[in-house]
Parts: sequence; structure tokens; C-alpha cells
Amino acid sequence: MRNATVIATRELKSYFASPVAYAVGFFFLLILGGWFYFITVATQHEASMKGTLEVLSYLCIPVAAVITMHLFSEERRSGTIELLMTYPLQDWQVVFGKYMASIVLYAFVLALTFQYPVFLGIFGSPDWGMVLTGYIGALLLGASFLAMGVLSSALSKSSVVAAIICLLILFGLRFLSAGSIIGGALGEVFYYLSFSGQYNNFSNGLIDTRDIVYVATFILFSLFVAVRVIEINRWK
Amino acid sequence: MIEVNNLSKRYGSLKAVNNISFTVEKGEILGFLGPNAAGKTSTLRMLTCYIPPTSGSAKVNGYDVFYDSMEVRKRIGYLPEHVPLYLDMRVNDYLDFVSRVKNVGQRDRDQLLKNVIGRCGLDTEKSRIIGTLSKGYRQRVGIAQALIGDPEVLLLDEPTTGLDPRQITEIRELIKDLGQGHTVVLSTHILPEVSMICDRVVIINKGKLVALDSVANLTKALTKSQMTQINVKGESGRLMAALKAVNGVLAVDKKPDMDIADGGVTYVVHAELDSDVREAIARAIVNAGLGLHEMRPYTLSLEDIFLALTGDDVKGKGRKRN
Repeated sequence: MRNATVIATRELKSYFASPVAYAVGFFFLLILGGWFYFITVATQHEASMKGTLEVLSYLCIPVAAVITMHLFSEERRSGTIELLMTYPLQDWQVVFGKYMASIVLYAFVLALTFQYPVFLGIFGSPDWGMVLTGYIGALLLGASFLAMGVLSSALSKSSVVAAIICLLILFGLRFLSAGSIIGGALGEVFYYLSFSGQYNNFSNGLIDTRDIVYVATFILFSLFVAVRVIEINRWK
Repeated sequence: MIEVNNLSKRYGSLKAVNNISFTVEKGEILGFLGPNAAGKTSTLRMLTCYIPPTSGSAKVNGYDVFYDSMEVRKRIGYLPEHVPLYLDMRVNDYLDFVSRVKNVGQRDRDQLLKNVIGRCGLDTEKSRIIGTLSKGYRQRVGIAQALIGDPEVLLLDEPTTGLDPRQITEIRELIKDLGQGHTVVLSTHILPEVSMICDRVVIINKGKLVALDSVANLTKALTKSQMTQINVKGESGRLMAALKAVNGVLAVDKKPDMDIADGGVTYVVHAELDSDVREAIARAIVNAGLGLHEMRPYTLSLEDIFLALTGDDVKGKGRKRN
């Protein structure tokens, strides 16, 4: 765990030393802020974060792709992975360390949006419990997407290809929710896999163990495969 | 300290390393020679646990690179060929990161970093961003990261490529200095480097080990005749005739690539090993009315040894092992 923290710290420093953190923060706030104004102030007149967090479930996807795309692909492209893999570190420590760094950056950017509920509190009386579970949902959703991003990055030497893989998988999953209109058991499955069910529950103020289990499984599966991919790359 | 037994690495159908075995003693500097794509880097990568061997085994200080990978990694410092560093980090931040990764205790860290930075001559550059450093300094940072944690074994893959002559000398001095107290494996295709620094050399070609010995012994083993290099002005035919007449002379090679200033041409005269024909040669040349400009004993350079052992044309001859 200590080793993973060392890796995470280095990655975080590198995020803030490069334009990545600032660019992501800027676009995140720009789009989410615009949407917050449009939904809450201009149209719905409702003191709730629900509409804003709804768009976040899509915005999360490109954000996760951008934050994670370089994590392994850049190391492979520049060859630094060779040194990293010959230090006394386990592969999972490297994967987990990088994943932690991406989550911290995401949480940091998400925290920048706390100003919106503050505005809601000033001009209205939002349901704070719902705001809180909404944010927990946003964090868990982001954590799942980032894990998939880490896996995509391990798959390619090119950051751009890694980002495309990540976008395809995550948007693909997200739009599976459209499949739920066919109804029946299959529709349920689509709806469930697409994160829509989980996310709606969170933004409606509901914390369900099933949702947590789904998210945790998704994260562990992605990271596990990422560790295996890195191992396979050594054998090639 | 390092034991390599029948080590092989296969990439698809290509045998990059083919059944090589050698050992390196503690405190020794071993030169690892071979043409490009001979399998040097693959061998080093197996020794550093970066890639697993296809077959055979390698042990560092008794620990197997495959089964006790973590123990091996704690004991090695590695400088890969193209010195991959995090270009966005500052030198001291980077070395601090490496020392944490290598589990250097909090208490020793500052002292250790100071030592390593001093030893590698990085004092003036320590707060610069690695990406802005020249190739020579990046190489030093690469060596510095290998030294962190005071590993028993250092594996350096072509540490002097791309440096200017002055930097090369400095890096060589540093490596020589490191040889006191570390076991060093130095891969290179720059031959003078090896004769200057290394105790023994391993020569590999096309994945196979072709020689393993000290430079002096290799020279002795490959010297088939007593050789004298002469530089003579005058007609070549007359010279040949004069030299052939000398008792003990076996053959005369023209060295067209050597300098022909003042109209002289350089030849190498091969004579029987136990005979001394130098005086007779000199007399024969002068008597034939030719100008003898230069005459000196010719010994095989490491280049000659290398070419003899790795060249396709002398393959049969090169199979000799010691």
C-alpha cells in the first residue's frame, strides 16, 4: 500500500505540473456551470442538484478518458515503464497507485462544483441528504469510469487510442440504457449494466447495497484485468 | 553474484537469446559485447526481471529472476538503453521518488540522495526539469537512479551512446569508480571502452555466446601468427618478392584502409609465432631499395577480436571458446 501511495503521489504531482488538471477542471466547470444555470435557474426553478448531476453522468465519461489516458500508454511509449517494472514494486501496486491518483484528481474537480449547492442553499432550501447522496453517486460513477480508463490505458501505447477505447466502452455501456425500452428481463439487464439504475437511485437519495456491489465489482474487475494486461505485455 | 544458465528468449520465431551461460563474480566489471540486435538488451532485461526468460534460468545473489523477482529487484540498479526518465520532473524530485520506490528509509534518504547527486556530478543541475537537461546529464540522472538504494549489482545498457568525447570519459571514470564495491555488467558496442574498464568480456552474436574471457586471453587465443606492421614506400610487387624470400614469413596483408601519407603503404607481415623476423624484414626491405617508413609490432585490437568472433566469414574460427 505504501508503494502504491508513492506512485499515486508522483502521478498527482505530474497532473498538476502539466496542463491536464487545469484543462479538465476548466471544461468541467464550464459545461457543468452552464448546465446548472440552464436547468436550475433558467428553466426548472427547483432547488435540486438532480438535473445537474444527470448531465454529470455523461460528462464523467470524457473526463475519465482524459484523466486516465496517459497513465500507462505514456509510460510504455516513452519506455519509463521498463524502469518502473524493474523497481521492487508489484504490478498491482503500480496499477492501484495510478488509479488512486486519478480518483484524487477527479474528486478535486468534483469538489470545485460544491459552489452550486451553496448557491442553492442561499436562494432556496434544497434537500441536503439528496445533494449528498447525489455527490456520492457522482464519485462512485466517476471511480468506475476511471477504472475502465486505467484498463484502456494499459491496452495501448498511444494515449489517443487509449482514450478512444475508453470512450467507446463507456459510452457504449451508458447508452445500453436505451435498450431498456425493449422491456422485460433483458431490458432490466441493459438498464442495470448501463449504470442508469444505480445513478438514478443515488441522485434520488437512495443508497442501495446492490448498487455499491455493482460499482465495486466493476472497479475491481477493470483493475484486475489491467494488472493482467500489464503482465501479458511483459511476456510479449 | 550473477549466474546465468542456458538462458533463452524467443520472440515468436525469433531466438533473440539462445542458450547462453556465464557467471559474474562479486566486484567484477563484465563487458557485454555484441553487434546491434545480438541479444544484449534482451539478456539484461531478463536479468532485471523486466521480461521473463523463455527457458533457462538466471540468478542474482542466489535469487532466481523469475521466482524471487522482488528479491532480485531489490539488489539491482538498472540503466536501460535509451535512459527513460520522467521528463516533466525535477532531478531531485525524481531521485526522491526513486528512493521511495526502492524503500530507502526516511532517515537515510537525504544523506543518500546528496551522496548520489554528488557522485554523479549533478549538484548544479539538481533543481532543473529533466526534459531540459542535455543528453549527458540525463545519462547521469539515469546512473544516479540506478545507484539509489546502493544495489549490489549494476546493469548498464550502453551507458555512453550519444555522448560527446568528454562526457564519455567522465561516464567511464564514474563506471570504473563504481566497480569498486559493485558488481557491474556493462553492455556496449564501443570496444575501447571495454578494454579500458572491464575485467572480463562476454561476446554474444545472434543470441549465442561466442566468447567469455579477459581481453588479454582472447587476444592470445586468437593470435595465430607473429605480426609486424610496416609502412613502405615503393613498388608493391618488389616488396612482396623481397618479403616472401625471408625465412619464416607466412603472408603479407595490404591494409588499404590505413593511412598512405608520404606515398607509403601499410602492410601487416605474418610470420611464424615462435620466430622473430623483424630484423630480417627490415634488411630485406632496405636491400630491395624500398623506403621503410615505419615498423612496429601489431597486436590484435578488441576490434579484430570482435570481428573475428562475430563476422560471418570467419564463423568457423570464431567458435573457439575458452
